[in-house]
Amino acid sequence: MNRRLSSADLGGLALGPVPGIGDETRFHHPWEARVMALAVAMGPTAQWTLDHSRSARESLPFDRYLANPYYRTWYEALCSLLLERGLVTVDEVRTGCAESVGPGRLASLKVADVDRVLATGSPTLRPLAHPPRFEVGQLVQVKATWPDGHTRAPGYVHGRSGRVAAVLGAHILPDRRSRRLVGPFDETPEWLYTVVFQGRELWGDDAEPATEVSVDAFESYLLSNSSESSSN
Amino acid sequence: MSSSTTGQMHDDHDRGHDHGSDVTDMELRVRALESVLTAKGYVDPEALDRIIEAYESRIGPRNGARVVARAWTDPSFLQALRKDASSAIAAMGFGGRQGEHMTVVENSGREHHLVVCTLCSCYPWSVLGLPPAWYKSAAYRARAVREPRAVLREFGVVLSDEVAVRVWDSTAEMRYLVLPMRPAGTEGWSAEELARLVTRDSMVGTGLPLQADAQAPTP
Repeated sequence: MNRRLSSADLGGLALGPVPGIGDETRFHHPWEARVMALAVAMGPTAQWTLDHSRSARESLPFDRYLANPYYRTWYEALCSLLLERGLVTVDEVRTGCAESVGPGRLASLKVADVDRVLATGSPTLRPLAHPPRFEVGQLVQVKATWPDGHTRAPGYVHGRSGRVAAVLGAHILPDRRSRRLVGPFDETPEWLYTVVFQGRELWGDDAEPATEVSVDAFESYLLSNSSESSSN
Repeated sequence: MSSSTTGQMHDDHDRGHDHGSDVTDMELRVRALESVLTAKGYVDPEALDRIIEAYESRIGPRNGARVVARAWTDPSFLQALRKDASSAIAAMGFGGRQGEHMTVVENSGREHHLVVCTLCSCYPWSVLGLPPAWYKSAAYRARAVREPRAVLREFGVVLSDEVAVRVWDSTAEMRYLVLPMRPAGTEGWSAEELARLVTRDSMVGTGLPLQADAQAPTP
């Protein structure tokens, strides 16, 4: 079995039946909706990015990550980020009472701006002057080097070979953007590729027939692989 | 990034509680957090209400169903989707947060597409709304890449080995929408009628559209 990159790196684990099929309840408790909205509303204050949020969520200990209700993990990560940025104190989170006013430099999301903010989102596509290193059809291998911090190459593709199926443009590299804990954040883009792996390449004899899996991998995750025989 | 501070705080707090009090406990904690963030001027409670309302009413799988039904009935739109799904979908008014960059993958008699996010819960919010509980579950995230056919059977979708299964792990900011096959017997149906056959699961790949006899067109 592959090593886990983080508590969130679940791809390939042997777990039981999928729970909740047919459950259409959007929020099981009112607090879940509030946590979702708090996380979304803090986005435009630009104190952190989506990559920081993901990094905070996947930094929870594995047992806690698995046991937590989904939005509890969001809550805990939100608290971590707020504390790390010095925007709240532990006592304030606990009591709900503000001990001091905020730094006064956060422009909070106003109700009149919500629809526009949701309709705009945060595109990650950026111009990049140099051309992509890989082309569609090329055989590549995901580096097996262990990252130092947040990354988006799941453990189950590390060291595996696949074929480039698409060049998706140059996008902000989450690995770099999540490194700096305070802004301005490093939004250096990198070429992004869809890489397709045959089931057997990932799972060996356990692979189901006629299955393939693709991931979207940044250029720095990949090596060119000239040994054409190892893919299929 | 460390979560030790909050982790410790929660551990201390948890010790005096049994599992039965979790809901109340979380309700109180989240209320406290919202209070302090509001008092400090970081969030506006009315904006929170507006966000929740948007995802409870406006932004959901009916958006995606309209995209699919239009692709079934409008060849030039289908071409636009294939060429640049982000722009084609945004032009229908369904772009935005967690749908900034879109790819549409087309089911056929030869291949079936399934979407997952093994690393978190990336999902095309702008066309499908918030993800359902199963999509966010550890079991789905773990198993969809390793045994997609077994997972599909749990959803009642049984595919022959002749149909290739293509799994899309949403590891970056590209979001995937499955374009299911148009159900038989729907010739002459309008896009509006067809949209009623398009289920949320059929756009994630864990389901198929409803059949024509399940939803006869209104005369």
